[in-house]
Amino acid sequence: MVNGRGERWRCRPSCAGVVVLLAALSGCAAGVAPPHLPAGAFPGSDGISHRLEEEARRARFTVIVFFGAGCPVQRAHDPRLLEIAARYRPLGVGMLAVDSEASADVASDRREARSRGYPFPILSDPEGTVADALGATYATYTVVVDADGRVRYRGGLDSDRGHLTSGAFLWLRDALDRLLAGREPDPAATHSLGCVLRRR
Amino acid sequence: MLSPGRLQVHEAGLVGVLFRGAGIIGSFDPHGTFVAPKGAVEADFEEDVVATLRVLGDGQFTLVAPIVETYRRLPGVTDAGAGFGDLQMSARWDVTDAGASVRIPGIAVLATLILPTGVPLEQATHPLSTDSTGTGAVQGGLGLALEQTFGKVLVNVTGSGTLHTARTVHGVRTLLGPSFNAFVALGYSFAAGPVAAITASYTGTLIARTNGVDEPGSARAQLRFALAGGYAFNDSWRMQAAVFGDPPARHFGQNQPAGVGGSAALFRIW
Repeated sequence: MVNGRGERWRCRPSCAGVVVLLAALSGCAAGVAPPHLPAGAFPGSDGISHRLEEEARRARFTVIVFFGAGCPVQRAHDPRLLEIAARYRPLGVGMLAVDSEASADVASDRREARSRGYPFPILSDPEGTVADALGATYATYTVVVDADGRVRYRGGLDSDRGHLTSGAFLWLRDALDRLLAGREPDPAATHSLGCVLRRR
Repeated sequence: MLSPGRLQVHEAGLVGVLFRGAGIIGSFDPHGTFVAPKGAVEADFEEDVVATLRVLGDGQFTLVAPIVETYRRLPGVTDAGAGFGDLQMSARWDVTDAGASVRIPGIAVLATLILPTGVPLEQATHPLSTDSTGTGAVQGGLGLALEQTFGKVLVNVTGSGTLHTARTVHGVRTLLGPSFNAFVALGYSFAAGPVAAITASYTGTLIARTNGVDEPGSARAQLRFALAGGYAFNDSWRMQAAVFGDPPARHFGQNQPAGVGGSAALFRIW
């Protein structure tokens, strides 16, 4: 169960035997690099090629949301994404989405951004470079980086899945409020509840 | 969503109730010939309490407690009975998730254990044995499921094998042969939220042995088609329903009844 801190036990360190092997196959392996902004430029739905480190330097904080076009959880959260953009961009928070699915391409991402009314671009990342660097495996997984490119929050937008509720824990909003007030997010990491990103 | 009691990604547990009813339209003889009932009527009903819990992140454990009711009518006699059926426990481990890779399908390992908590046939007391609710044998099985998504389409292929323990009734020891099941499902996810699927399931059981001697002609087979659907009201409640039928055509069954029926289930999810 996901609690108010967005924590959910995923794989015990004490797994043994076949369970360890299966857990490793499931991606619960040790020795993964810490999340970081990857180098390189990624084409955006706005017709501009974006470098994430440069994007981060242009804002106090930058929100990076991993996008899944066919994900019902993504679709359900579009209103909240639009609210967050409207609320925090005037406060110096940059925002962009990243499509790290194998089918990502600029034309389809442009159509999606327009149809959803996103005021921020969707970057096309069919090789999954950004997802690998930031540890994203699910759509709506969100990372907040500061101007130096350091990850300050990572995880879900909120505790809702396919249907928005009034009683949801608004993890991203709470993290941004704390960061803008000069404090650390609490929790700083939660669990994303979107669909599995389809990778190559 | 189309597998009753199965948790989706990010779900931690569920409880629910499943209702199932079927009317028997005939049976297949040992040669696979369909025989329509002559004046005989049978209807079977079942209510299952289902509970599933996520374990170790990628695993699921499901418990199904069935209540079985049977109605039979032959010329001159009518009988109805009910009782607790055979308790079913199953486990699933998702090695990979469906849709996570273009090249690698979702792979899951399955295990099932069915305990003879119901009333076996030899202990039934009703005239037409309608109070028999179980097989009287422990059943254990293993399976492998492959699942992949293609946009809004989902394809599932599952294979499994089951062994049964022997039963001794009135000094006669009977051992059912191993069973094998092949299951195929083709599903579609609609934009408004519902999902639908057509499924085909074939179960074959090798010949039984009585007192250590093979019983020729005791093999069993059954082919079943179904049309299923599911809908999530919100993140906490979803329903599933299906209609199913066993085609009454030659060689589509062996030593098994054939029926048509439906099921409906409601689940609370966490």
